[in-house]
Amino acid sequence: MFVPGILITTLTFPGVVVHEFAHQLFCRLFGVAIFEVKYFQVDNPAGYVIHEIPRNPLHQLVISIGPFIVNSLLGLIIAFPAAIPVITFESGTVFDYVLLYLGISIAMHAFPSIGDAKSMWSILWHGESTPLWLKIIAVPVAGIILLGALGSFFWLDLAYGIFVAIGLPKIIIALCA
Amino acid sequence: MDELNEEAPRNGCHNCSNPEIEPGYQAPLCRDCRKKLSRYPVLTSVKLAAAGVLVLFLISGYNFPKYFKAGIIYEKAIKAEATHHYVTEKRLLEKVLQQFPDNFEASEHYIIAAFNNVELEEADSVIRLVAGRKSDNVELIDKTNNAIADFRYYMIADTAFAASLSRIPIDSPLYEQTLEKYCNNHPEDACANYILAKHTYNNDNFSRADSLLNKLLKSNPDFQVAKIMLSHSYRKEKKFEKALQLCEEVLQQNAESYYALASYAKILLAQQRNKEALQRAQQAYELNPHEVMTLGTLTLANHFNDNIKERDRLLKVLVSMPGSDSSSIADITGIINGKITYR
Repeated sequence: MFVPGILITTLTFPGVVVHEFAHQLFCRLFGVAIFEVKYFQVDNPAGYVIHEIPRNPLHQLVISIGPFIVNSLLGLIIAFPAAIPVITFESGTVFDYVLLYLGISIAMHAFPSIGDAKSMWSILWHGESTPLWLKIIAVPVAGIILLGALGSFFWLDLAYGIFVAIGLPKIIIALCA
Repeated sequence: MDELNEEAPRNGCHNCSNPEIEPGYQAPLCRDCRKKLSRYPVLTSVKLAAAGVLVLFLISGYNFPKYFKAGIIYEKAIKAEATHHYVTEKRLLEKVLQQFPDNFEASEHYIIAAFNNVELEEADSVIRLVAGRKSDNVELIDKTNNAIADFRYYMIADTAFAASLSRIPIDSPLYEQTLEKYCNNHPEDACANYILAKHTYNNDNFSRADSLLNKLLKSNPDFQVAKIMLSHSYRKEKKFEKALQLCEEVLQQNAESYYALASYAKILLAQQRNKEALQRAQQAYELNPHEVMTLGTLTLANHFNDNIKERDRLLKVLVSMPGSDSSSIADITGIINGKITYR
């Protein structure tokens, strides 16, 4: 069954909002000027942050992959208290189901977009001030981002969201036992 | 995420025209404007939504410690099952089921644990609760069904025969004749064949009990209680190594089988390995202190280890224990008084 990406994105819009917020957060942390933020729109792209090119190329890398860290962590934290009652004990409340939806939505938008990868690539790979070690790091990171973006066609993003929101809590509990 | 890449203007900061633009950036901005722009305001609607999520999170988080603790207990139970520690598993699942009495998977695991501990009444009470419910966990359901199939070891298949047998006095010759006839016609009925073997054992016909039990175990190799009975029989015949081997086999099936541990201790006592016997008897007692067999074995182990005070204390507990039969107590006191030779 083909489900248009825009529909999935709209259904999981909290993840888009958090994704853009993560870019914004790291821009703020690194003192990078932001000119426009669109948290969500029913269009392509579903959200964006327009900011200046950071002085430090490493900051560009972190701003690009920021959503991966923030969305994954936030998705896990939000879903954790709900995952155990819903998945392990089948006794979740409506609140738990809402949190689980939010956790999955947020975590599935953890992967940086192709746009993120492109801007990261043009700045890091072609940047004159980028040290060689950072260029070397940028190659696999850009590759992983592209793979993640391609994988979304095969629902990889949803699978990742479910893994973070449901699988990880189960793994953490099993490790604590 | 997009970047602004602007040419440097001729007249200072792009935002406020301050001539002191911050060096190193492509976007020509003064320090203050850059700082201000980096603090781009978050929309009020986003802040309100975040507050809403926080409220939900706090509501859900209120019960989180309870669920987290239960989740860990449940996982520990599953690990105990994987290593065949069924007494531990059952104790842990009792705590989980106290909190979530309707939980299907915990109930299924409880049934598996109870069957492996040969605690049939407890298993049966939970089977009634989960009967007819559906689950996608095919592996668990198969495992539970396999455990439930062990009921055949403890119930005579032909209920009419079972009822008529129960009406015959156990010490009359007719009892054995009737049972034997039924077993000849129904060699597949594990329970009836076990009862016949036990009856033969109780009449001190150990070699025949051996033969019946060996035949029974050939077709029912996981029948724990029959293995324990055969180990008793071997002990009586002083075939100690064979007897110990059977206890080991049961302990492989259930590492916490107090029946197997108590039987092990009795064999070791018969071999005059008193200290080892006391250790095993203690293990069995700790796993189930409310069982006549574990308490009786520990009493004997203390007797043969000259722990007279402890032996007498345990004997008092045994005598006052509900369900303790007079013949078991008479056997133990007979051994203690030297009227019965144990070894």
